[in-house]
Amino acid sequence: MLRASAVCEDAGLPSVSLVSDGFLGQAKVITKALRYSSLPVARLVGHPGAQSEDDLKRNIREVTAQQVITGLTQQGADVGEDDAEPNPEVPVLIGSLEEVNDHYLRREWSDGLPIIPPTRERIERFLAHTRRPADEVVATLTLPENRAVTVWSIAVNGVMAGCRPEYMPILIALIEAMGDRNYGLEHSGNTPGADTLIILNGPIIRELGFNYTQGVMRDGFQANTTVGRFWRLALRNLAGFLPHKMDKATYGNTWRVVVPENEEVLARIGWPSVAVDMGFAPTDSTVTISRMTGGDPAVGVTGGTPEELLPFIADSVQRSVNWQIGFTLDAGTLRPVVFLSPVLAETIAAAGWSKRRVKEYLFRHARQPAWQIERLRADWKRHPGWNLTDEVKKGVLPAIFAESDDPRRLVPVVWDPEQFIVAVTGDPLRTNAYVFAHNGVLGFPVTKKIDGK
Amino acid sequence: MSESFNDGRFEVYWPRAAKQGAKKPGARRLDTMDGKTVAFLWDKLFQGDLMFEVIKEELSARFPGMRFVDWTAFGNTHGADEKARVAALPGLLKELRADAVVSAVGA
Repeated sequence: MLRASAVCEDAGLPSVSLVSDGFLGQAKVITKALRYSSLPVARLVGHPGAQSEDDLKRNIREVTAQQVITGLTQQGADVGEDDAEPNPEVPVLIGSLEEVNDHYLRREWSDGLPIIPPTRERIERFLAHTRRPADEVVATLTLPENRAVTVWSIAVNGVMAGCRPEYMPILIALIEAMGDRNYGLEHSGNTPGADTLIILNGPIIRELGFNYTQGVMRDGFQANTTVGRFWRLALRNLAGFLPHKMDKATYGNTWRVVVPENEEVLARIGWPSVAVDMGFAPTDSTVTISRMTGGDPAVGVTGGTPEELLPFIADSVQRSVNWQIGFTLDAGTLRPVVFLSPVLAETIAAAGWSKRRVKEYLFRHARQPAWQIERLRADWKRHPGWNLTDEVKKGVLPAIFAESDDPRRLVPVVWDPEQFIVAVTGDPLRTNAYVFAHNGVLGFPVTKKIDGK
Repeated sequence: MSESFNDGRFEVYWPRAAKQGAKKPGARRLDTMDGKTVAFLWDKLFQGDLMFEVIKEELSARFPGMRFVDWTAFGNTHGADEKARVAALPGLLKELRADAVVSAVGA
């Protein structure tokens, strides 16, 4: 919203943004990040989503309207500048392990777990694993703090996270992905509090000893765990998402460990990896990032054929889609992720099914009754009268969403089968799957190739 | 190779990245609301459309010559096609002869 205001200001038009009480501090930080001395706001009392229509109207009349006039006719107060920041090339402290950890915690540079002290020697060991110079800018993360991330600063955070130096090419690829505009980093502090799912593909999985079998999403495997921790430290230190500041997660969750696919099984059954689905070669090592609010296993999937196995999984997929559809249906941007354990994938593939056919099955069977989607939008989100048939008539939605007028008809949760992301990973011999809820339109899947040294 | 510490002391570095860009002023404010055209931009969250109706009523009551451009002229400023829609704003606003913008909802 402030981003739109900034574009208007750039075009010479004064703007005022309507901001609720809980987001006034964030508005100030974003104003600084966008490098404005002022982007006026008009206050929304409390939260507009938790007020009756009468209360909301009264608050707008009594408080907001006058601030709109003021914001459009008077220059706002300068948000000021932050204190000068340290020179990256100069040590910030000489101290014991405890003193270093206390120092970093006090300055909000740490996540609360002990860090490995980023000494020059340790940083240089990471730098030795890339051809790129230490001062090269890998990505400029415009929002929220407009910071230019160098190879050096990536290495510092990699050391702190407990990564091994040889993980450095993965860390660089992750920051390239973080800076990709298609991913939408700027939404990383939004209230649903999603966290990033990192899927790893390619020869690097085995070269660096990542776990891709039993317990693949569990901590306890250095490569998976520390690279996942690096991501969250990077969001904090390199992007600027801190809880109680720019990270407005209502609840949030901890970072996810990196999830590699089981590429031996994929090769055996002839299915493409996620990276290949995203347009890369099977020989490429890649990271794929997307933001997920949550996930749940489908436990004890039972059957000897795809027709017996997939109904349970399709049902789990449709159950995982709730509020997200309110944000994604209009543009067809939902990207649900399904993990199949190797034994499930092998059983499905043994019947001659391709991964594409699995996605088509999910498209046809992971469906919800039309009335359920309409209730979410029309009643719960307060868009009275909204319905799928009208949206199809207006050309907003494809015809498949209005094949009849029956409110009990089943409609898909995505527009196209290829919008399902299917990965093969986890305990090779357990018949469980896992389904992730995609965070609406925020955090689109982005894949980057990992460049070796 | 020895670490840059002695007796368990570490010489450590700043983990952040440098901020970019110089600060700029916003657009010149309106000298008056009289006779001006205000455009509404909405991210389709939290009843912004209702807020706009109330603001229109309030502004019209105080400045009868004002004109308004509804949010539907610009589409949803949040979400999948946000970047394209926001990039198109300057041209659309000029075409629609808007003088100022109210953007909502930050919540």
